[in-house]
Amino acid sequence: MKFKILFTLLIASFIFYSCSKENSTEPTNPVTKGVFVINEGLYMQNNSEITFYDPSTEQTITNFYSQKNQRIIGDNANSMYIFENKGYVAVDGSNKIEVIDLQTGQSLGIINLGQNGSPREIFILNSSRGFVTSFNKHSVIEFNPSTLSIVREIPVGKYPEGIAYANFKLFVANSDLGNGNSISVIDLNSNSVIRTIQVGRNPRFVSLSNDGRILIGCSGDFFSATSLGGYYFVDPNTLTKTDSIILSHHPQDFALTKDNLLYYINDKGIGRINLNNKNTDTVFISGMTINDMYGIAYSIAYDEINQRLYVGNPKNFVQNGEVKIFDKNGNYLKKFETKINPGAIYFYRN
Amino acid sequence: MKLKLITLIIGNFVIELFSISNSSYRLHSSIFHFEDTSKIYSMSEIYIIDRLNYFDNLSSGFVKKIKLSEQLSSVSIGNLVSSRPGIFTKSYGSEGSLQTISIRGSGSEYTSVFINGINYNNSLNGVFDFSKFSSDEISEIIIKKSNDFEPINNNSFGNSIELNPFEKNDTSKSIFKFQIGSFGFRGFQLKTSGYELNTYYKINFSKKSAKNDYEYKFNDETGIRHNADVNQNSLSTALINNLNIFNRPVLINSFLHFMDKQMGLPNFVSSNRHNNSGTREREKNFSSSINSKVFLSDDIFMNVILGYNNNQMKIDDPLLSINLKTKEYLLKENSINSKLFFNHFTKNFVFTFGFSKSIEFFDKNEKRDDGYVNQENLLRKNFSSNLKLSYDKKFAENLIFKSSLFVSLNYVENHFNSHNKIYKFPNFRFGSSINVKSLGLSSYANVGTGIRVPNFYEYSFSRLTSLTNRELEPENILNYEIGTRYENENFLFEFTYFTFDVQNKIIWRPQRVAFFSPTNLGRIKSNGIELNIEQIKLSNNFSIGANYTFTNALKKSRLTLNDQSYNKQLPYIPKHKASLIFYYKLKSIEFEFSSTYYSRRFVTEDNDVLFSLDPVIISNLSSTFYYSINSYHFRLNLLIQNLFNTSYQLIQSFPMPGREYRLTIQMEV
Repeated sequence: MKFKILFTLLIASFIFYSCSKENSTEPTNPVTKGVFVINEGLYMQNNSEITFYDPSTEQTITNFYSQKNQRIIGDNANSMYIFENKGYVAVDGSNKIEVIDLQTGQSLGIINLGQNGSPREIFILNSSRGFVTSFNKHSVIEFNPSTLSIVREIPVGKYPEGIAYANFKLFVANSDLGNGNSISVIDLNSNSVIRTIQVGRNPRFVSLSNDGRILIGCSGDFFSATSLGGYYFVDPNTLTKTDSIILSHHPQDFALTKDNLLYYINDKGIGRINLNNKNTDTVFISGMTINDMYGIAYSIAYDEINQRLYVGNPKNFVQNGEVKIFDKNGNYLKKFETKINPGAIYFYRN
Repeated sequence: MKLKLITLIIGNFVIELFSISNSSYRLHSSIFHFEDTSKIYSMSEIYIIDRLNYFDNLSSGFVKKIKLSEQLSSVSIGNLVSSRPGIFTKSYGSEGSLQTISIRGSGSEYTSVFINGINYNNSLNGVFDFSKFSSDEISEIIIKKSNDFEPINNNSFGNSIELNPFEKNDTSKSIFKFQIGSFGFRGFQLKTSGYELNTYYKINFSKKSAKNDYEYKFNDETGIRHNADVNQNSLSTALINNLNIFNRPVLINSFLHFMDKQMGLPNFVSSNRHNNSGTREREKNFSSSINSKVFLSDDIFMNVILGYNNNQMKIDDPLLSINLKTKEYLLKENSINSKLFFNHFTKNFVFTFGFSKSIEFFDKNEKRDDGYVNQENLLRKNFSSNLKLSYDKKFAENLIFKSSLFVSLNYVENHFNSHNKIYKFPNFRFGSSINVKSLGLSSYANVGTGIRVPNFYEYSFSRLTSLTNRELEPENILNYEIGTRYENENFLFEFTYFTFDVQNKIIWRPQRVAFFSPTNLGRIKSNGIELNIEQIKLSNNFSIGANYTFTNALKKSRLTLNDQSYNKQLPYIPKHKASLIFYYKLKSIEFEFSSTYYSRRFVTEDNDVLFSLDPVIISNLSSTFYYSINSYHFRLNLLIQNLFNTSYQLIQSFPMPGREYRLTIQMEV
């Protein structure tokens, strides 16, 4: 009797042990177009992932990276840059840029940024020059996208985040963990900072406006309910600040349409600014419509071709999230599931 | 910038020490059976039957006497009990790393740890680090997995663990022990114990060090654990003093403990991240306590306990691995405890009445990268009055009924920086048992409440900015179980159903992107069964034991229907846990083999399988050889932990070591 008990326990242990991790369906055909979502995961938990969504078929592959590579991409993936059908993924907590074939999801290699490399945002100029902001090194690291090697480090301000390119210059937001108020301008001939421009508090996002100016998003002090942020415009030729739109409720990431409508995340949900006349609608889509748990949106992107607004919903930040799709008037259409903390959304067309 | 700020605020270097308490979304009376030496009293005593290691009481639990082979190997307390039912040990690495115990799916902050009647949980986040004590410093571990009916443990509110450092040796002996092991482990112990001048004494000095630079596999990558070295020195004295004052026997247990520990705090690992964190920690602890029993008359004794605890921890983080702003932490804790209880015995009743008071002061200094020093402190005053009534009746020669009611009225005063908050609450515990001695059968049931007051960490973040400023409320705990136990000379069988329910639970809620703060919005409920079979004697030399625990620890709160974490298993709590223990002894050699299985453990609240920890079986083998020459007794022990070199984690991103050897040579005079 005693041995029977023992034997049964042993058998039970093998049954329980044999449960395996399930994977989503691998794409049967190479991906040619669709939506990629970079899911940050939870810091220190090694649960970043890339989600792929095909709007035409509504197929979702929540674990696009791991289902192909049979391993997790790393810790705290922050953003991706698409270049020549490859995705260069900044994996902050893993101090690397992971290069993946966007058509298959296969990893093509990594760029090891070393201890404290902490990559945040990437820009690739051509097949031999790529740049990434290194949060903990307070620098921009230049790398070679073809050879996957490090070229140089260019010191900028503290805790840099967003990066954009214009006129053979890079424009880097120096967040300084919420205390910063400047952007650094790097000349790509001299590979050094040639100007520092004062903007609003906590600059984090940098992009190009439709008229070729540099558009910088500043979030203000997150610890203060009344702190102001806003969007600032810099002339890339004169390197001077030309305009600004000051906003409350901590403006964050944004998406700009060809019609000059700027959709942006704030504490209330999604706001919208008509840059033609600066008319601002602070609550274009309410936060509770996006995230009925905490009213917080996490990422935003605009599909110009289909005129759809994609908004990342992190739910309570500790479970799988989703992306909700709206039309350009803010009407909810549909959603798809993602992994934890959908932090960045990209449209891919081969 | 999103999660970076979350990291900054939460402070991630050791999840439990600066805890988010992710696991917590995270028994029995009068155990101390001190024997009177001068008179036999009519008070009922509870006997511990050494061989079977259980106690006859109103709740489940067990008394684990530290075997000689376990004392020899000097493993951590958490490792010693990890194979027992309902016990979940969480470790962040090898020798000296932070180790906590949670019981029945509750978090480690719900497990109160007592030594000599004094609570040792820290004020920072309410947990106890079991790596501070090893098996050669403790004689006995008493674990109560449900309500604790011991009056002097009145300030437990869930499960409790007592560490008993006292030894009774009628003859003097001295022990010299040397150890060598994997990953640069070195150990030395010098202990002397005996009986002089009506006092049992034990003086122990131990020194342990290890490099802990073990190789691990993670995410198909191989790494070496960096900056995980530890150097720990401990000195303790434990005295049991029998006095006679005014012709009344007085028993005094005194305990004094110094510990000095220096260690590296290694980084979490991830893909492409196997680097040195550069973070160093130094911890010093001094504690002293006196637990006295004064027999005022034949049927009344008074229990007086005084204790003082001082803990200092300094953490240097030059590479800002913990958060991005702070280079140095200095944490200081001081607490003074006093307890007074009167116990009155009659034929069928025991009446206990008493008070306890403690003052705790916790101070945190952070030196930031820019030179700014941030200081916060918490002063907490606890006062409780307690009443316990126990009834004990023999209905027949073999049928004994026992019942206890324990009520405490509690007053807690918190002063956090300039903010004051007072809590007043009652707690009660009720239990009963029936014991049919002739059949070896007993059944028990108990129910009790507990209140967990917010700790320093929760206060600190609840009042961080004007955005929060919340008046955190205490959590309400309901704890109950029913079980049965059967015992004969060949084995022990125990079956228990338990429930541990926490309402008004403090959870961390995002205020906005990159900013979390605690609030009372949660509820967790853990229920399950434990099945335990111990020491089945298959022959005179060979015995086995087995246990199985099913734990359904669920998150029972949600904000909306869209919340996929509702009714899901709490992170890190396996639904199934099972252990097998084989023990073989022949003359002067003995072997013990244990194997523990943990089912899949989820890391995220919505139980995504993709991000879970695989099921794992961890096995250990210990072999001990005894040899004596005249009055010299030699012991040789070889311990192999993780015998099959399994690659595993108990906490995500903190890989555990592979196979570890430890060789011990001890000489006893």
